[in-house]
Parts: sequence; C-alpha cells; structure tokens
Amino acid sequence: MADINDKLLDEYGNAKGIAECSFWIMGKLLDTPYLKKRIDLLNVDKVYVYGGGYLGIQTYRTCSDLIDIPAIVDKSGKLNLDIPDIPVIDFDEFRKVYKGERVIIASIKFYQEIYNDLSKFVPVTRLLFLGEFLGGILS
Amino acid sequence: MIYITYIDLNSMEHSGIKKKVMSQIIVFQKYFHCVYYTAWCGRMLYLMKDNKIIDKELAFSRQKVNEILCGWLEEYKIKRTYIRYNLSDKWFIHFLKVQKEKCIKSVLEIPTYPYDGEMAEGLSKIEDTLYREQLYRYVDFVTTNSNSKYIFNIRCIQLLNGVNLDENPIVYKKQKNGKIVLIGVSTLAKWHGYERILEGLFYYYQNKGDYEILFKIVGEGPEKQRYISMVTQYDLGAYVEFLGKLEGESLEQQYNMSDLAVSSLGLYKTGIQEVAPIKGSEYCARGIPFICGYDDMRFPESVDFIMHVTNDSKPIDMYQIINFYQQINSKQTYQEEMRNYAIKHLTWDRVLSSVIEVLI
Repeated sequence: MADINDKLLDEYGNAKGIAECSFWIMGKLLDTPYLKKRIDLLNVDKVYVYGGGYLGIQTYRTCSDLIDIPAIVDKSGKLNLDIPDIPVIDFDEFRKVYKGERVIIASIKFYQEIYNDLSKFVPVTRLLFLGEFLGGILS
Repeated sequence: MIYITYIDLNSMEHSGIKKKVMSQIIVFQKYFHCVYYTAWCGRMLYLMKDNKIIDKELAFSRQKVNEILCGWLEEYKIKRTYIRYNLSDKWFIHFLKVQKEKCIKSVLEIPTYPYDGEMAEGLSKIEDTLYREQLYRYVDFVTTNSNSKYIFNIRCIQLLNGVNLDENPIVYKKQKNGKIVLIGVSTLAKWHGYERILEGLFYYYQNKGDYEILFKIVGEGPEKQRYISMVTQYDLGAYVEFLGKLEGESLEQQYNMSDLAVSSLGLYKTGIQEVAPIKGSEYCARGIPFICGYDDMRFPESVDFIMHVTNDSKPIDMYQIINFYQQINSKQTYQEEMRNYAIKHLTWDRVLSSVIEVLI
C-alpha cells in the first residue's frame, strides 16, 4: 500500500509539474514586449516550432508576427486542433527542408523523445526547449 | 562541490540572491576549487561553473529537479553540497536521502527563519510543514541568519549576511545644506515597509521643517503600485522618486547622491525582530548610515551609524531622521568607521569560516 501511495504521489507531482509549466509558458507567451526582448536577446529571425499540441499552436499564434516561423513540425503532420491557416509539416518533410535554423521544442511530456529524434540531424546547439526560449540562460 | 539553488538566478527579481550566491561561491572556490552551482530558469535546470553552462536538463517540476540532481551527484562525482533551502517536499527529502547514502557532506542554508509568516496558504505550505519534519534525518547542519540554536531539530551555524567589498565601494557624499536624501534599494516587498517613510514625509510636509527631505526608491516589486498610489494621495510627487531597478554605475551614482539609506521597516508583518539582511552589510561597506526597524545581529547596540525605529506600522518621524543626520554628520570619519567595520566583521570569508570548517 505504501508503494502505491508513493507512486500515486509521484504521478500527481508529475501531472502538477506539467500543468504548472504549461501555465507558466502560456503566461510568458501572452507578454508581447517580453517576447520581443527575448527574441532580441537570442538574436533569432527564423525558427521552426516542433510540436502540434496546444503549446506549439500558441507559440505560433503569439510569435509569428515577431519572428519567421515557416511551419510547425509534428510527427503526425497534424495539429491538435483543426486550424487551416497554420502551416504544418511532418518529421520527414522537416528533415528535407531543414537548413540549420533554430528549433523550439514545444512539448513538455515528449521533450526528451523529440530531442533525441531531432538531435540526429539538428545540432544540439540549435535545439531549444520552449521554456528555455522564454526564460532560459543564454549561453 | 555543488552549490544548489532552486531559483531562477537569471531573473531581475533574484538579482540580490544571485549576488549573494556568487559571493559565497568565490569563497568556496578558495577551499574546494571545483565549485558547480545550479540555476532553475525557464524550467530548465542548469549546472554552471564560472558562469558557463556545463550541463542542462528539462526540469518542469521540483520533482524533476531533484531527480536530475541525484544524477549529477554521481556524474560529476560530487563530495560536498551547499543547498539554499527552498521548502521541503517528498522529492527534496528523497534527494537528501540519496546524498546521505553517498556520504556527501552537506550544509543547508535556510535564508529566512522563521518563514511561515512569509508564505501564502496552499499546497507548498502544507507540503513543507509535513516534510520538513524529516530533514533532521539527512542534514547535519543548517545555516541561518536567526539566533536559533536548532531549526527542525538540526544544529545551526549562524550565518549572517556578509558583503563583497569590491562590489560595494565606499561612498563619499558631500553634505549639502538644507537637504537630506534617503535611498531605499530593495525588491519592494511588504516587509520593506517603505509606506512608513511615505507617511512620515506626509506629516512632515504638512508643517515643513528646515530640511528638504527626499526619498529615492530603487527597485521593482509587488508593493510599488501601492507606494505610487500613496505618493499621489499624499501629494509627495516632488519629494519621492521611483528609479526602478538599477545596477552598476547608475546605482553607484544614486548612492553617491544619498545621505542615509532605508533598510527594512516592515518585518513586523512577518513576525521577525532579529535579522541580518544583505542590504545592511552593503550600506555599512559603502559608509552610508541607515535606518532599520529590526535588531541587526551583526552590529552591537553601541554603533552610532544605525538609526533604530520601532518594528511596527507607525509613520517614521522625520525630525528623528534629521537629528540622526545631524549627529552622524558632526563626526568627520563616520564613513571610514563604517567601512572598517565591514572589513573586520562582514566579509564573506569571515562569515563563511564556520561553514568551511564543517565542509572541509
């Protein structure tokens, strides 16, 4: 029973962490002057956003006027919502068109999996977790 | 060695803490050479050394942070940790247990104690109250700036805030007749209590005395809007200036134009009477006499460069400030005396010596 309680707490902790992280990200994305500052600091003009979930879509919506985002990349080639005006490409197509741009990983749960897949052909210095884009240390 | 922080050292909000952490690291480096430190920014946990990123991992929760730290202990062959406490939970306790099993020497710094009064009700408070009772099993020493001998059943080392003398040069302010400039540099939290100065100025200017008293507020924080409203309400616009967050040369300039500094005046709100905040040691190193509403454990009562006021909500009497200003200025060498006091008692080398003894 103690083991189950322990696992249950870990799962709740994990779910709470993901929810808190998502809210933190959404809050930062709503702050346009802050976004502009971060984009300037990072000195980026073109990025791909990886992840067709809510975070990826929100990143596109809030940043595409400030920075060139050619498309959202998603393994399935689809977004979580049916939004025709957001360009989306699948992993294979991205591999063909990728030319050294920065890639923002807009997924918390599948970050490591995506990072591992992308790092096969994207230099790791060009990979950025969305939170890192919004508040990480600039090397 | 690794200096563990669970905060965003990058944010403006934590710039004071960063300064302190960096000053402590400089001292640790003298004894332990390779000193890493952690920062949790943008939900990434960074392992840093000499301002360079050594490693980083996604850490979307405190649970993840502690899991990653357990891995880094092994990977970077850590023998000692110094941990800046940021509340207890199941995963922090697990981390402490792992380091205890690895026979890692560790000291836990509790920056504010007691801290229950500063915490909002909610999950973190409940978790902390529950899990901090287990800390004594895994931690041998706690550093605290309080007078407590034991905290959570753990032996305490008193660690009063020190100062980096290089970053806080002495200020040579020339006295200007008829004008007193007060400066308050802080994160404008409720415990800074600057409303007491604003109310004092309001009463003073209703029946103005011989001096023009100005108050410069440096910093950003949760109370700023309230202070701005008070300035409007009391019609103090000509006497109170909000300068925002300042660093480096621009901050130096403001210090050079100030006569007296304002330290915390609202600690009664968090139930604290005795404390040793960073700002007090910085004001001392700079040679700026200061006003405080608490007992600062680093200074004996006999020092004449501190003006003590009551630790309550009463407006600060500006005539008391004028008297203090006149008294201190009648002494030609008070700035050198303050600087010498800081050199003798407040350097981080001096302050951290007991911690080094435990960790070595």
